[in-house]
Amino acid sequence: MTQPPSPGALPFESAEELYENAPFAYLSVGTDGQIARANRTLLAWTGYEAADLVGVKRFPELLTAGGRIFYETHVQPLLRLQGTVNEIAYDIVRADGTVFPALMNGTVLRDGEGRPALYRLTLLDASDRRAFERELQAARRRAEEAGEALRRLNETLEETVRTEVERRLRAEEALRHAQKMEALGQLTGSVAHDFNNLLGAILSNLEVAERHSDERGRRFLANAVRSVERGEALTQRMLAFGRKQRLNPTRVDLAGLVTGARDLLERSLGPGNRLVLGVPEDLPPALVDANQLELALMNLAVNARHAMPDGGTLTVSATLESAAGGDPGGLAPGDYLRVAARDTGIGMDEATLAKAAEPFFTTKPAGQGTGLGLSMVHGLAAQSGGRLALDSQPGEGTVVAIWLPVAG
Amino acid sequence: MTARQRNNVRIIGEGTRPMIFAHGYGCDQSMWRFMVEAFAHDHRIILFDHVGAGGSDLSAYDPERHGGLQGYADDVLEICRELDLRDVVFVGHSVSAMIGVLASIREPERFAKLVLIGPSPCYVNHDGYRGGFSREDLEGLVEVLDSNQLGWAGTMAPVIMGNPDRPELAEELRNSFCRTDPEIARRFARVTFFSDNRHDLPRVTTPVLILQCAEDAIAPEAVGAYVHDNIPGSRLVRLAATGHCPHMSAPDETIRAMRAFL
Ligand SMILES: Nc1ncnc2c1ncn2[C@@H]1O[C@H](COP(=O)(O)OP(=O)(O)O)[C@@H](O)[C@H]1O
Ligand SMILES: [Mg+2]
Repeated sequence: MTQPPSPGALPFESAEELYENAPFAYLSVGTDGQIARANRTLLAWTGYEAADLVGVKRFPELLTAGGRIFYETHVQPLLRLQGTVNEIAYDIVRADGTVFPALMNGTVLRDGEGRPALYRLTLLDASDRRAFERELQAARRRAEEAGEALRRLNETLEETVRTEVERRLRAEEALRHAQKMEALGQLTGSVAHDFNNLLGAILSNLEVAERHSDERGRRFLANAVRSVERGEALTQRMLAFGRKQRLNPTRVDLAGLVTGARDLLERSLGPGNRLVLGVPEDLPPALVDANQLELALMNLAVNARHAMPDGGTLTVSATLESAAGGDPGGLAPGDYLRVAARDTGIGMDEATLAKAAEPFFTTKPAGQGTGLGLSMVHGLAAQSGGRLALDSQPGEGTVVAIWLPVAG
Repeated sequence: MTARQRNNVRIIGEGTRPMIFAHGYGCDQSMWRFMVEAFAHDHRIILFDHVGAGGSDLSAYDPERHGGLQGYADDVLEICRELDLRDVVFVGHSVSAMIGVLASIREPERFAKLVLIGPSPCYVNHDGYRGGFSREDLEGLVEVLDSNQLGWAGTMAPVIMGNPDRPELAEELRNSFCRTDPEIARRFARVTFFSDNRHDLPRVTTPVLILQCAEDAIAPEAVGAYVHDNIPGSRLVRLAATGHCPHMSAPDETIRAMRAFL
């Protein structure tokens, strides 16, 4: 029927031929998914015969399982609602089970009463585009991951640096403080030592002068001797801080010592305040100079009194503790007795707390404070192989703890 | 933010009996078009979008709350509370069937009836239970979602979702219905398809109608029968309609079955 085209004439084209060989795959599909028609391009791309598909397979069967879900949950509702879908990315499963990426467009064709009768689907081979998209997606993911990794690194880096810097600052601060106390101790100790010698010389000369004096002269000399003795008491405390004091450490039963000192402590504490003692009988003995420890507790009671002008409670207690290696106060690992004096007074702010144990540091008016109380306690504790620990906050009271080694 | 704003709630109808429609995974409230036409004259119809879908407030998406179906059920209950709804007829499609189940277990007194369209308590196959999908199938879905993100959804949807005050942008979008935020859609896919609510079914005390389609690729007949067997006193109606969305593909049949139950 068809004549071979005459030379120079255009080749024959029909709508049918265009449909079959279009650069898209055409599919007509019932609303239930049944394939009603498929063009030759689709058959070529998928490797199916028309007889394998038309009236036999449903369109979702040409999709992967994920694609089928997407078809039911996204594509079908979209077709119903807007009559078309555009550029749905699908993997189409070929007859041999391999897949190729496609972009799908779809339109609803309606029957005479306007009801959806067929979906016309066109598929575009999207191999190149999908490969490009995948690359793009991968690149984006890599960029995001790199960004995320960098962010995390930055965060942890900051954190690491911060904690390390803090740790070093704390260590440096502790060292600086220890060195300062050491230097102060040396200085105080040697000054006190020289003074003590001077006081000794003055005293022996006073004694000689006393023998050569009349009644009136002796009264003046007795005053002088008392002053020298007060001076000696002061230098003793300075020596104590400088750890230059001659100590006589013995096995001390703390319960006995503290109970025995009750009167002394109550008097130091003054009438408006309450003293509570909490030292168990069964503690192991401490190795310490008993007289000096008593003196130390007295100093703490005096401080508590000054800190509680409106009345309060001082609790003196003792517990058995153990120090692990790396103790911040530099204690050697082992068992210790911790003698604590807790008051309910005004407490100390950070700056006061930091300096409280330094010799001559006082916040009290001249005549009331010498600044040698806590420094003496510090010296005693350190010279005994223990340490002093202060804990206080403004308005929260103060805990002064003396750590002493257990007598072996 | 009110639940009404968060979930883009719309109230339609002349009736007094409240009927709340919960759309399934992949769509939004626009899928209820034919149901609204059929029930508006004698019901008070409440439509909404799950957070992440349609006109919901994306900033309300909370990965923790919305990391499980209970969070979506709590959203539904908040809408009910805010509107002071009682004797509610809850119509849930697909994943929202289970969301309704969870909501009715938490506050049974609020619900008069549940209509579950294409419900599945568990999409993944377990020994002895056939949900219809393997884990790999469902991972494949996520891949399809990703591919489609780079098409229209990936390039256009964020622009639109980020500009709720410029609705004209939505007109430009070639697929303008059932918009979802791509990232949320991805997570919602996981929540939907990896949930297992089989043990919740016996705890339902509200009267239940199950609408089961023929040849539903998402919720096969055996799954519908499983739901029916495990919800005491539930009624199962097998529709002639095929596919997963009978309320869109066969609205008349769906409406008849619902009316008979209500
Ligand atoms: N229990 C305490 N409560 C409050 N502050 C105290 C206490 N103990 C000591 N301090 C503070 O530490 C400083 C030094 O105390 P200390 O060495 O005993 O010297 P002094 O008592 O002579 O001032 C005191 O001036 C005071 O500021
Ligand atoms: Mg003092």
